[in-house]
Amino acid sequence: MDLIVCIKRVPQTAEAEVKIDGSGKDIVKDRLTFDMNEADSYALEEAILLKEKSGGNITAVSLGSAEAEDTLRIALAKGADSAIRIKLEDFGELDGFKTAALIREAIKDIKFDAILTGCMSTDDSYYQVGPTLAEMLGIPHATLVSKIEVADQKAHVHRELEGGLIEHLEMSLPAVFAVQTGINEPRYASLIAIRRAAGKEIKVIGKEEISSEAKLNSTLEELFIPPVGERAEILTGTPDEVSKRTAEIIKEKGLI
Amino acid sequence: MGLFDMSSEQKLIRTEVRKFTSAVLEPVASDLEKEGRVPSEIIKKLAQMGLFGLTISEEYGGSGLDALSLCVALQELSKSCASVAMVVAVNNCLVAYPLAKYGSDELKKDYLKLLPDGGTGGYVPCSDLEVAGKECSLDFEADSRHVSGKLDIVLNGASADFFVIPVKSGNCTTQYIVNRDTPGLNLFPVQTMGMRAAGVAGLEFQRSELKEDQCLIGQDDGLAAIQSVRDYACIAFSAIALGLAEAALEASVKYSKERKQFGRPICAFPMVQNMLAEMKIRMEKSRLLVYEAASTFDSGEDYAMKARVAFLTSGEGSVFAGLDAIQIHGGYGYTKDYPVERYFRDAKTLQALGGVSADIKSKIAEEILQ
Repeated sequence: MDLIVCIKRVPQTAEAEVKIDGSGKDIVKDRLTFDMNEADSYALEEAILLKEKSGGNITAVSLGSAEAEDTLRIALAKGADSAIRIKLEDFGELDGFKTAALIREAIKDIKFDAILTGCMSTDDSYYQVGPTLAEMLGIPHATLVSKIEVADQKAHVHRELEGGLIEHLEMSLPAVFAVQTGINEPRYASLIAIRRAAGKEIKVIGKEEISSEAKLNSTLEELFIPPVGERAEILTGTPDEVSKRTAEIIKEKGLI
Repeated sequence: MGLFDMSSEQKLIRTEVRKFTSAVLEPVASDLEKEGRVPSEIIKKLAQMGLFGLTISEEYGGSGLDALSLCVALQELSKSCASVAMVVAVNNCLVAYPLAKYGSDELKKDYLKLLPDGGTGGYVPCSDLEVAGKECSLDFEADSRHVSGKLDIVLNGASADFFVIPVKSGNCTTQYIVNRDTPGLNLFPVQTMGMRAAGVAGLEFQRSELKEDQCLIGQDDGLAAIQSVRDYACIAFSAIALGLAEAALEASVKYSKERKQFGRPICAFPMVQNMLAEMKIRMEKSRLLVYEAASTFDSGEDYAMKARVAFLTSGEGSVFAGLDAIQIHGGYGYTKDYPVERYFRDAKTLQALGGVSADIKSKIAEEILQ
């Protein structure tokens, strides 16, 4: 089973102090550490597990700056067979649509049975690349995937729904799976595997190798930290009293 | 461009080990202290990651990495749990290195090969082997291959599968390998101030037989070889101290930004800023010396002096960092609610286990005065 895994190198902002830069459209990244996007590491692990079960090859693809090659080397160390970096510096501003279009161009000559992506990236949180890529390729997709089993060229996929429900789908291949975190336990790259991956070639492609007509579907206007709100008012009393007061507040604020 | 920019490979090692330590070690570091040893499930994970055989050649199942990579990994391990870093350092430097360099093919096959898969070797340090008393080396009984006596401090003792012990042979100091199940050998626990999970133990021998083929460093190589191994370990211990200093500084920066006094975070006060700056200066000095010593070792040049200077500087830096971190944390600093008291205890213990400062300084002076 030949697989493609899309990987993004993202800043680790969960516990860091995030500040907006001078452009107002990006964050200050100087003192942040970067790593593989969390959901992508689950997608990669799932691909490795599928490969361990059924054989085949894994190609890791990342649209990123030269530093993204470090992230791709971790993917190689964990079990990917080859890696491609699409030069971010060649393609300017991106959104989910343009990213998917560039990935489609980059993988057009690669034979695959499935593409795995993370369900979202922790920096942009667009949730778009997986489904958009599938639409562009004209193949089925599933999002928020929490289980993948493959047999007889069919995939049996679980999707996590609200309210604790699980949806079980049978899907034809090739397909795109946008993987949910928690689907597996991502392994650590062993030191010897890192050492070996350090010497492997990463294919780098840019505007000379791929062209895309894709335009941005959306442009970033502003990035801001929302102002701290005033303290919430807790309404007490009988349901009638609370609903009456709620209606008054809504009218006072001019919301209706 | 820095003086010691890491290779891409070393940066990846740092990132991956950091991820491993924050997920696997950090949440349990305090519990490991209570247990007094590194449990087998964590040893298994460390081995799977390749940390136990980091510097061992691929021929013997290791990762074949250099001393600088070892230092990068130890620094990260130490930031989460210095005891675990200690176990890894002892395995790589004090056990695997002499086995690879001086051990017979049989010893390499029987013992070196065990280490990458999670086997652990214990090591008996002593402050000055030339005047070593009975507490840190054993003597053969007259006309016999039997030894009796106590070795009070054995690094990695609690979990070791075998031990590297010093034995006096005439006027020479040699080193032997003994199995944990050697007849007449008993282990006894040793309570330490810090590094409590590193499993420091003691050994007692009652007429235990040491076979000739278990000799690791014989009379020909002798004390000089043992000293060169200890100098190599100094580099690794320096990296552990550096990790402790970094952890103490990070904790202090975080706490001083959060903790408010008189309406301001305490990091706004000059006295606190002075402590933070001093910690940073010592840490950066140590970093350069540790990486310089490791790079010198990797280049094959004489590394003894640089290793000793690195150890004294980073050891002292980490103790200061631990003390200042406790001070910055105020009343919380000496409680178990914050990790800084552990950083201090580990730093002070490491400083002692690595060798007596006065001895190391006299060796430095001897060399300068030659």
